Amino acid sequence: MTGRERSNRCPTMEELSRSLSSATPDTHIEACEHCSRELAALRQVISLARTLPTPADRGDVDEQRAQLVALAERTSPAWRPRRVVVTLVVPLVAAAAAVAILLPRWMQETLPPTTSQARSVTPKDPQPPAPVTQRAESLPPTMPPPEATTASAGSAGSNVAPHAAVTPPPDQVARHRTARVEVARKTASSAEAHHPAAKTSTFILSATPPVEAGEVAFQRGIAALQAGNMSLATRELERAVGNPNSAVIEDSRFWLGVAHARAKRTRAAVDAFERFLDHHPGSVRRGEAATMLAWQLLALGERDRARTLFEEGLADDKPAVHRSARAGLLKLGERTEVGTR
Amino acid sequence: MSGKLLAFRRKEGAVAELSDEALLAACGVGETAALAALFDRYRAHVRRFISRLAGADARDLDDLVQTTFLEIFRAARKFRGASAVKSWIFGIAVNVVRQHARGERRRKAAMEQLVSVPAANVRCPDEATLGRQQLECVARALHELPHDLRVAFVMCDLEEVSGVEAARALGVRPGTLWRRLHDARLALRSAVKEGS
Repeated sequence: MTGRERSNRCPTMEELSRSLSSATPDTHIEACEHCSRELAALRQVISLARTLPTPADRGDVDEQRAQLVALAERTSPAWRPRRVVVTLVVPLVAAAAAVAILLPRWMQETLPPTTSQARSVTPKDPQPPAPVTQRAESLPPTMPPPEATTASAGSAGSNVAPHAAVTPPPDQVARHRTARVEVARKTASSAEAHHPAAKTSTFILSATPPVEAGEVAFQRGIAALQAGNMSLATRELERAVGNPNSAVIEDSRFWLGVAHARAKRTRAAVDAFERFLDHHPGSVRRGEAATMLAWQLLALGERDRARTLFEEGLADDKPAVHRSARAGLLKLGERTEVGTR
Repeated sequence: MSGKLLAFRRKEGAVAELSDEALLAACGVGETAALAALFDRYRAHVRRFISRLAGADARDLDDLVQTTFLEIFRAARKFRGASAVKSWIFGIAVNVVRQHARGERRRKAAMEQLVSVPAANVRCPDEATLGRQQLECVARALHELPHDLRVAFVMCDLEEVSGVEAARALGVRPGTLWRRLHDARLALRSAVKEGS
């Protein structure tokens, strides 16, 4: 083939392009003028491109190498784990150590299974009862008045509330929470003083003091009691009582008895108050519980036990409890030598 | 055999004797001396490759070279030996240049430089002027090529990396690379033909 133009036997441009990278020469391309010209043009383009100038080197190769090595040192794969250890592991270990040291102290301060601790948890000055006056005639003769009363205890024909503190102290839960947060705050400051790296963990302690299930149930039970939902109150308070290590176990047992009494579940109330007196013999609420239990027993016809418990209530130094106990004894037909306080 | 990973120790003359793969392995464990050795070994290649690929000026070029070697240092652990070290390094340089070229700012700057060159007297072109014109045409056409075509052309035709190696380094099929290379050659051929 001697023609100057492309013939049907000539390879396509793509094949020509591929032949550039081929080690074996194509006989047709060497013989064909058209193909040779096209191939030469492609080679010329590549040759021209290879002669494109590269910007002059600045000549500071040593400086560039040193700079590169310095940058690589910062991002070295071997250096990253060290940084992780310094920034994450060390503070975590310090925080864990701080928690391990301070948690037992914190638990000791917040868990009140003993009598002395119970006294610290129980409000020293409970909220005075709501001055709700109930006419004795409107109540069943054998049931104690469910609400506190300010009526004169000595007035004949009027029942007196079995004790004065049946209304839950509204700030009781808040006091528990405040005490916990305070302990957590002290823990945090102490941890920071000794372990600056423990700031994160102590912040968690102070920001979210742990709330146990028993305390949550107690709060719900008290709220239901105040709202008059005795069924819910007894359910939640029974749940609170089911946590014997709860910080509010003493109060839970007491208010469970109150809730049962208000719900007129006399037997359940008796059981609740008896458990309370068994578990917390030194409680500040012992007089109240004894008087409440006495009223329940009186309703059940157990006059002897009721009398004994009313007499115990008479010895209580709370005026309302004293009045209620004296009213109970009057109900039993026995005069007391103790005057009205 | 404890299996403990020994640190790369730089000894006099030892680094230069190590293979490219060994240097990359040392980079993978954070040995900067190996990176310095790789830099000495491939700096000129990478610089020329990036210059052809990106058309950057000298200062930008050195920055791109430095960025490329830092990326090599970071990615050294991922090198599995599927391709030659040189083409793998070029593959990393391609990615660095691609990131650099985004937004067309650098390309426009390069075009402005070409525009500022005085136009040749087309009525009486001598041989030197004709050659310079063709060179300008090639440079302009090369920088106007789509990025993938330019990469294929620079890597295969200018840096003479084999098609198979280039395809592995770029993570494309060989047929795709051949197509890109052929399209790039045709585009440049047309540009030079029109220019002359």
